[in-house]
Amino acid sequence: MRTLLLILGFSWVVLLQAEELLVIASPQVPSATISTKQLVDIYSSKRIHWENDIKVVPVNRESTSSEREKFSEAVFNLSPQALGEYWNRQKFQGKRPPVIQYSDQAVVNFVRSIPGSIGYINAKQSPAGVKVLLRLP
Amino acid sequence: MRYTLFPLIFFQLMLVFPTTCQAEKYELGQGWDIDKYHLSGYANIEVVDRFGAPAKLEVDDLSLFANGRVNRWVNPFLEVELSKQTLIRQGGGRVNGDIIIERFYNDTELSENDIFRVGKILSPLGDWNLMHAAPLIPIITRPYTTARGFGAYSSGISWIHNVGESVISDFQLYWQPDEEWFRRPKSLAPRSFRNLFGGHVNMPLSLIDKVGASFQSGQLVETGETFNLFGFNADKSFGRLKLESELIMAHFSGMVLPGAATRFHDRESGIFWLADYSFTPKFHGILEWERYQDHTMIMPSRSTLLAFAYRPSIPVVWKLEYIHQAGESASFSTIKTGWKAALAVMF
Repeated sequence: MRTLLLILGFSWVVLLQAEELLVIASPQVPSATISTKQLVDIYSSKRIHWENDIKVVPVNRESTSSEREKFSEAVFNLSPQALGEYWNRQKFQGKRPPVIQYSDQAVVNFVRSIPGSIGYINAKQSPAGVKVLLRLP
Repeated sequence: MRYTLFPLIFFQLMLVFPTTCQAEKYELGQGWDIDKYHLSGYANIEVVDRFGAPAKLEVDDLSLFANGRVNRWVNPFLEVELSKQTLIRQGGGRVNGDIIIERFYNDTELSENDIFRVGKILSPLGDWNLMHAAPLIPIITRPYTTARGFGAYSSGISWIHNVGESVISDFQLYWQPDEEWFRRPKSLAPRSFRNLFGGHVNMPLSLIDKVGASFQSGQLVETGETFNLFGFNADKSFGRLKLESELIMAHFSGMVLPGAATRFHDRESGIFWLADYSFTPKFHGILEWERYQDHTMIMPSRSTLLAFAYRPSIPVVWKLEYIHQAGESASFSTIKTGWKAALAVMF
């Protein structure tokens, strides 16, 4: 019985971890951490430079991904649909929408190679060569 | 009756039409990144059946826009569109569309919070004028309040300032020292403006909800009159219900040029209310009402609109609407009683 409870408990921890996100950034980004308010400013095109004057390059997952759904709700408290409409409006005003990458690995590769870039991946990943700025529950 | 059913049949077709035609690694609406440039656009196809006029199917807008983030000094933006291209018209005949340069400007980043813009822009007056692309707006018929009484475009210089942590998030000032660059044809823009100066302040209530206030002054080229205008706009969501309104009040003065339209009033004013209720995330019901008093018309125009919008995905929206117009109608009127249906896609 105890073993069964341990297995159930462990499964639950794994499941919880699977739903978490890591916010990652390129090594050139000067910050060691980031707040959700700063993420809102970056992903709504209000903040365009880091403190060391490198351009901010936000990276998004595709609109149908569970990571994007989780990120939209955790950071903006909005559905991906509402946030997508917001970005379309921004784009029409001449602001560049976040770059789209189609997998966690693609996000890691992009963030590792493009100075100033920032993205998010499933917390199950162990990304190398990037900074982890925040864990989103 | 046969032609009255035309928009309804079009709306039915839209419900069964496949909504995505995506190549691998491309999502409809996301545009294309080409090095430091981003290319995007939208298309809007309409079926129009107004009472007393031939029904028609037309490309209302086919718009392409590109922006670049090259460096701090060079960040160009260009929007070109094909407008009002008739495809099929009841009784034959067609109207060829016009190719228009809607916007063409460059942004220079003076600081993290200041942008200096040079070129042809959308005047920041209200919210609708800045967001008039068909996939972004809930209805097909654009209210007069959002376009007729002021210079919707400004050609010159502009300063955009982000205030940051404040009640006012940003403001924009602009100046057009002469007339509109790449002037749009009279059929689309019966009024033209010169010597425009204006500003807009934006007060966000959330990421999506906002309140704004605007002013503009200038001269109407066709009549020689000068005008001063104040505007107010508000968007507020209450769960599934979104309310939207804009208001303008303008005062016209000065001698009217011989042969120009008579000025019946010194004031021109308009107000519209729009309620957008989302039955489901994809299916919306919309009610809109507007009253517009043109200064060259004796009586105001009043209109009521009932619409349904189906948004199968973020960049695609199908719309069906019936509008009832009462009060005075003029040769320039774009709001007339009848049906409209449209498919708008951002790509």
